[in-house]
Amino acid sequence: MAQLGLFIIGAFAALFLVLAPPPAAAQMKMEGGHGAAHNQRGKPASAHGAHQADTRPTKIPEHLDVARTKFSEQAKFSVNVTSRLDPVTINKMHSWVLNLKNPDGKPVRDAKLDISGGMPMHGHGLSTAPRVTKNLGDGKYLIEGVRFNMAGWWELKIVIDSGHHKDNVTFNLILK
Amino acid sequence: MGRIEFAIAFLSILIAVVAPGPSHAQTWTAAERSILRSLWIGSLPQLPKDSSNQVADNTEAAKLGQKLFFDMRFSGNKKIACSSCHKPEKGFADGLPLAQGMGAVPRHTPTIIGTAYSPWFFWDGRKDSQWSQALGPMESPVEHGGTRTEFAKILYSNQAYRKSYEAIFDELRDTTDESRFPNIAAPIDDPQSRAAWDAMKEGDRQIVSRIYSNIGKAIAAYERLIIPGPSRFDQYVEAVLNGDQATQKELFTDDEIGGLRLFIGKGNCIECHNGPLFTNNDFHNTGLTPRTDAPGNSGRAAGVKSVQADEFNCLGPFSDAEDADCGELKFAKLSGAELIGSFKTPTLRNLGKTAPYMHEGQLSTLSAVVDFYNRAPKAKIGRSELKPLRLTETELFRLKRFLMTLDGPLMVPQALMSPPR
Repeated sequence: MAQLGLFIIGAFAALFLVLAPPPAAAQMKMEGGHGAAHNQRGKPASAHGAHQADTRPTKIPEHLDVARTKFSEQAKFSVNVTSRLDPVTINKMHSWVLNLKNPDGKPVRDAKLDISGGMPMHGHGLSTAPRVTKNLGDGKYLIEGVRFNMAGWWELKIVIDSGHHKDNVTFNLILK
Repeated sequence: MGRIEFAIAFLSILIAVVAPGPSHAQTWTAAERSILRSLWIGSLPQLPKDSSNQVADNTEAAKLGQKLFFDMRFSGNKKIACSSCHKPEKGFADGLPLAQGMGAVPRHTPTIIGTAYSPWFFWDGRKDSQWSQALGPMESPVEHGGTRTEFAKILYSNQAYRKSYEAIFDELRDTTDESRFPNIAAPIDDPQSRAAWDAMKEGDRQIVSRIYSNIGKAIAAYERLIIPGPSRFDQYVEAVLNGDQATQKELFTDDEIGGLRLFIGKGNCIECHNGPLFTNNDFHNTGLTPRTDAPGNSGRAAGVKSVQADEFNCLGPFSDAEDADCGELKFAKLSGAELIGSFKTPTLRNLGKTAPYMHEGQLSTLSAVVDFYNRAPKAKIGRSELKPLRLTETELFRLKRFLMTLDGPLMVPQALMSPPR
């Protein structure tokens, strides 16, 4: 039994050795070599000045809210967005329908909508300039001219002005 | 067998089973296979309809276009054709850092391969169709250096051209009367050509511009047919999708597999070089240093303004499209910091044939390209979207090896690779 126990421990130790990431020292050595290459050109690895003040998030937040129906930031409106391209795929021009209601669920007609957005991790905006092209009535609006040009985390930001209230809402999309 | 020998043998077997050796590198997760499929040439859809060009899929128009593409008479010095820079044997590019027409062109010649799938043309996207693009170089003083009245006259004076034009479009109007149609006239920067054009009657200008736009539409009908064929990468993806391990091993080395992993992973290449043509056909600032202080360095910021004002755009009088077909133009982003200094993502297919690289041919080799992306220097114009990759020399080598697997034959009949008989 003791021998079997030893083998099991050995097996786990071997597994750990095989599967564990390389030690930090080894990684530093690799990066050191990389940095040295830059030094030869007179540009140390840390001299990427453009990126030092970078405030862009480096990863998609955990539990990112990807709901298509939500209240606007100050809860002035309930907003639903539906893509007419389902599933939403990259590099395809398509349109969305936005359904706007007040918090009581009554349609908000004749609102002004301003659409923007982009990729928070990249710092760039939408690749097109979508806009409302048709008031479909009953609080529904057609947004044409949406095209996402890469996979990843996108935001679709809408400024809503009903004449009585002004509020913002942001929808998150994860495109594959 | 003693205890120690047994333990060693046990561990050796264990390591052989779980260690990430070469055979293990052939394994792709379902998510990765889905990404590989998206890059596979089998995912390339049918040629998209070009609503702005009613003869886009007309074989007679393609034949006429092929003749025009190789015909040097359509230039100011009778020595330049489309094929002078878009050489079939060089992947429909020219192998030069910067193009050379009648003069020095400030841009690197992009390939024509697969451009039928793009909504935008030229590095700055100042054209929105293949036919409209074809017209740009013909009147550029440093490229073909001709004018549209000259071109209309060449067509009219040549029996074969006249016959095929009339079979495809309609009557080719007589433009031989020099009092109405000067030999050199076009709405371009050259003062003489411009003055002659301005002096023409509006109706006559329309006649000439109509013929000129039809020249572009015929050339586009030909250029549409220049599409890429399967590369070794595509064969590899097929083997992956079929679960054929043996063929995978035959087709790709461990370095190439490693490079592919970097391409779709921490190299971030796939962000812009996505889809079966390895391009999103959009505009990005990668921080390349411009060769000169030319105004064109603002890239897409200027290009989008040009295309909006272009008489040959999708919404213009010479387009065959309905308003609803012109979504790209109607919803084009007109302003925004990211347009400044941004240029179109090129396809990576056949890039072994299309060196040097980048919009001004700034980088002469693939090694220089992967090194550039690894460093991601600060942009001199606008703001670079890149972040330094910090890949090791080995990783850069693997990435390069992978990129070389994207070379393949064209899906173009041999008859289209040279001037028609």
